[in-house]
Amino acid sequence: MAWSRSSEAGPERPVMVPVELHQASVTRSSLETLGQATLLAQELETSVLAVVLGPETSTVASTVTQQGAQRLLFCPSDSGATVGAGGFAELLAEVAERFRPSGILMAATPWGQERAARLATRLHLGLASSVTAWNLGEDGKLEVSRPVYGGRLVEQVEFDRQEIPFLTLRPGLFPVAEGLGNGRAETVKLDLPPTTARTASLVETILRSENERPLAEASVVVSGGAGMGGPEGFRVLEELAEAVGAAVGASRAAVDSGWTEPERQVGQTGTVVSPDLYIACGISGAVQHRAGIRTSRFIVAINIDPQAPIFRFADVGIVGDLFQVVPALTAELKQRRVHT
Amino acid sequence: MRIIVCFKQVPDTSARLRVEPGSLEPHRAGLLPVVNPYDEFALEEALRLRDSGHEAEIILLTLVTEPVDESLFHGLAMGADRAIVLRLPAGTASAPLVTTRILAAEIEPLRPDLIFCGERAVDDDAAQVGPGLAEMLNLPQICGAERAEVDETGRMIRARCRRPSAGEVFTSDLPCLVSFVRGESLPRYPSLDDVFNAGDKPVETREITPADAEPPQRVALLAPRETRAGRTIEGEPEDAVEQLLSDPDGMVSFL
Repeated sequence: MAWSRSSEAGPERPVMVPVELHQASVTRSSLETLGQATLLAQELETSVLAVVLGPETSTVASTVTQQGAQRLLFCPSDSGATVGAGGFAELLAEVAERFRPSGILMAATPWGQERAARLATRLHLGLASSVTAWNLGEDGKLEVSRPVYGGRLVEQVEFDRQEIPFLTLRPGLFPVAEGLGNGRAETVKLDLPPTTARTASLVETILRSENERPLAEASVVVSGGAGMGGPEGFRVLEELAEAVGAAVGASRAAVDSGWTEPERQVGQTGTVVSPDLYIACGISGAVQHRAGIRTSRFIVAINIDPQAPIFRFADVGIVGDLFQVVPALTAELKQRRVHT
Repeated sequence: MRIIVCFKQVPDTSARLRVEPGSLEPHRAGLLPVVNPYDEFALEEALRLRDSGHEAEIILLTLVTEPVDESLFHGLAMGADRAIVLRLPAGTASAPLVTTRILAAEIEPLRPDLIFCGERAVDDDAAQVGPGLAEMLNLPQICGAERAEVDETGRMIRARCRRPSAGEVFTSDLPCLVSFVRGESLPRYPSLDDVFNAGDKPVETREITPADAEPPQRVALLAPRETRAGRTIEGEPEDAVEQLLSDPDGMVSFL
């Protein structure tokens, strides 16, 4: 597609990054995305335009510019910080018409994904979801990799030079880089007309207990499977998780058995995780589970069955009874923490 | 109330997939087609709405390039009232944007009160068609729902959604699009009677003219590289733990 209106900001077509806020600060995955947008913009010899749907704040401005954004657009809305996905698409389409981006990047979080899909549809742009790697070829083609079939395979797709690539990036894979920007950026406030999109209303937020860490963004995840034997087995895992600051996950087998909550499920029909460290306890390693942990940096498996497939795709494994190994590991890690 | 459930057939989600070198599709021989699990969650929630006392016609809508049989039949046996099958010529790839357009054109004249779909399909993993339909039909959307309830007036839906750090509850006037993830209740398993009766339910099939391909184009399909060491430690728990933690480049470097 081509942009219909004349550019509001000169001939340069920026890489546009709609930014996600959580409790008024920029989410980690949006920082990761801004970092990648900066690298892409450098290769395209253009700049990054960060877009915040919300009131101007200096904290947001400084975090965003440290990731390399040169321009920052605040679009305060009448209705406060929460614009529904329909309103988001309407407003961002308007911003896109004015600034004519050469690419759009967002984080593939639930917030980002439902909005990106709606915006891409509105703009008639092809969208590559949950991208894990990208490369701009010499011919100007942007080639991106993304997991498909629940993470069992990886596809490479290509945007031609004249197309406007729209990507969402899988959280947790790209670094939050330091020193990409100089901390200075041009801040623009843009008053957009109120949206007419019909929208659902957020009526209640159910916070988790404080020691329950969210799975999707955890840097360490400790998961239990069929080998946990029952709900009480998860207490052993929770102690280990507590000792190392990990989130607790589970295989589908453990969730199907009712031993733990569905929101803890890791894998094809649960959460896909990309932590630094994934500790799989009593998980045999069905393909569905494997697909959900593949992008973890380091995988440790603890399982009593030496033939369990999980050992073939873990970096290191302990063959043993998890009810002995996990407490021993917890005790040792606690002791080391005391001594350091 | 009319509920349309978007339904997609995907290759067996528990199977290992293979790709012939140079091929852009997985090797399908011996692979059973199944219902996309997320679509099953959506159908289950539609059926629960009806179970809770709302009069509802539940229509399955599917876009296919290969014959559908078992998976659609399974949806009818679970309790859907009828099905609409849109058929593209074999071998046609349908990008999410194209699929969205085709489905939106089909849905609009049916004027449903609710459109339910899976949050994603376990084939292209795009998670785009749900929000895309909401955009094209100018509907409010609630994505990533685990549970949905319609109030007694039949005019408002309330859905609980899963978010990384919290749960969120949304309400919306009908019509509305809701996409589902796995919730507390697993999709029901049809009884023998249900299976027996499913064969009598109406299935309307229509041929669809393929649209032009949309970017981005798939240029390669690969099995992910396996680069892990796979070293295993055996022995007494304390010794094994000691060994596990002794490698400075191993687990301890990630804590």
